[in-house]
Amino acid sequence: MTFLTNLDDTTLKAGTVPTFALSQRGRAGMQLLGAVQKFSSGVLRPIAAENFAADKRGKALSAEHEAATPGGSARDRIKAARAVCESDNVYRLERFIQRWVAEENFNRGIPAIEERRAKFEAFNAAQGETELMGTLDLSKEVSVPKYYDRVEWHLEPGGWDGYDLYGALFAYGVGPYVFSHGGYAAVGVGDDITQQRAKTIRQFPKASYGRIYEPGCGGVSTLKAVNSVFPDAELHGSDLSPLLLKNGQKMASRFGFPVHLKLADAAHDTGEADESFDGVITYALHHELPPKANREMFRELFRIMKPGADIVISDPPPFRAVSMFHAVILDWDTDHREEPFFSAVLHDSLDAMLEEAGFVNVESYAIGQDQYPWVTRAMKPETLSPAEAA
Amino acid sequence: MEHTVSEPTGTDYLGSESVTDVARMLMALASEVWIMRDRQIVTEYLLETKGSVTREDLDEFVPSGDLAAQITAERERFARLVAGAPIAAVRRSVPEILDRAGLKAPAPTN
Repeated sequence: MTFLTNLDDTTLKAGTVPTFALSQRGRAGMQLLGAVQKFSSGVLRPIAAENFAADKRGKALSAEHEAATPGGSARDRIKAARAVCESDNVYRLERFIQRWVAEENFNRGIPAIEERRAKFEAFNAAQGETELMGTLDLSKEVSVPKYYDRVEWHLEPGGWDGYDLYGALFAYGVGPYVFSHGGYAAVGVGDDITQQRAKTIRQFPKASYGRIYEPGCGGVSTLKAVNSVFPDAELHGSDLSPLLLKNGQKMASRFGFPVHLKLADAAHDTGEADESFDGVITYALHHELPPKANREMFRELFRIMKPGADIVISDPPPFRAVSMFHAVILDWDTDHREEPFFSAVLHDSLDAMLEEAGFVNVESYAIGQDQYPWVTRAMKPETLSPAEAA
Repeated sequence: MEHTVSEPTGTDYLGSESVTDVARMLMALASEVWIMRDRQIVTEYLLETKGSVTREDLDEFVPSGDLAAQITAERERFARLVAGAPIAAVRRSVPEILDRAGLKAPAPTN
């Protein structure tokens, strides 16, 4: 669940208002964050990984982690591996820089967009002349789940709705100048998250889809990728954030594709009809929910999918799928980048959750470096078992 | 009067546990230095291409093409030198030193 982070103006529909930019100070400050993060993940992290691999305890833990049936718990193993990592100055420096950039995305980014408020609002008003496409339904009273409330995801002050210009900050600052280099959280250094989205959408097994649904669609980054792969599909999405949804509809309209967005808690009630979708996509969503809410969401998605419909998921890889060193890197996000459920979900199994919900043909695999994006896909059976039908 | 190396320099106000705070201050300072460096490059470019420059020109300018590539290379060099300073203490071969400076190592001579 994210704001739209890559405004590729070359794909704007004809006649759209030209884009807007940060000031020299705002731009240069954000660009340095991107450069420092790139150095940290591209140069310092591989050195830290080498140091871990050369350490006697690191070697033993890696061997245990990679064993067919590892002894001991994964949590204990990661804890022990973290202690080895933290004895290395280079690892600590790399993690400090990751944390510093995550903080500065907002400490530096909020002033960078605020100083351009008047210009952005003028730009936004001009965009308002663009006819909004699709629908936006914010009418339903949705109670915010406890697990979501008060979390400042990714160190974002006030959470997703904490500042009215977060959409602009991501679209014109953090997205193009910091995230575009990759090398944060599960995203590999140098990876382009926009391309990763498109590659993920191509994991849908059929050549075309009628109606596709995305829970936690945020600012429509993923629905934009769906539109690029399946231009004829009717796109629907939901989110808990009214701000993200409003930005999402506006952005989709700028890019000339209609979306039907709804304020909803998809883990509880999407508000959609039974058996009404041919495909479901979720992107970077499940690690932001506790495992119990994920299980509820899969049951709800199963309900709204037609028999034979496909679900494709991209989320960080489970700990079992990555190296011992990389497990420590991923686990770090839980406590240091405000990702309270990150480790809990990576210890669990989305495959098992899908099977529990009734899905079949469940499979999971990596389509990029460091096992990311990690894709899990499955199908709702064409015919339900007697127990499910009951 | 000569001081011995062991003579204390005064109260240790921050304490060793504050080294992360000092690093945050250093990175904030580095950011401000880079913003000025970027502005200097843009100023030089505008003076060379337009002959004059106003504050508004600088604030509104968004580099593109060759200039953007030149600034990116300079920014990455800056990041390497600042964030890579600790490893520069131990990774000191000529190729490593030149790499941090954004330069290629010369071909070995016989």
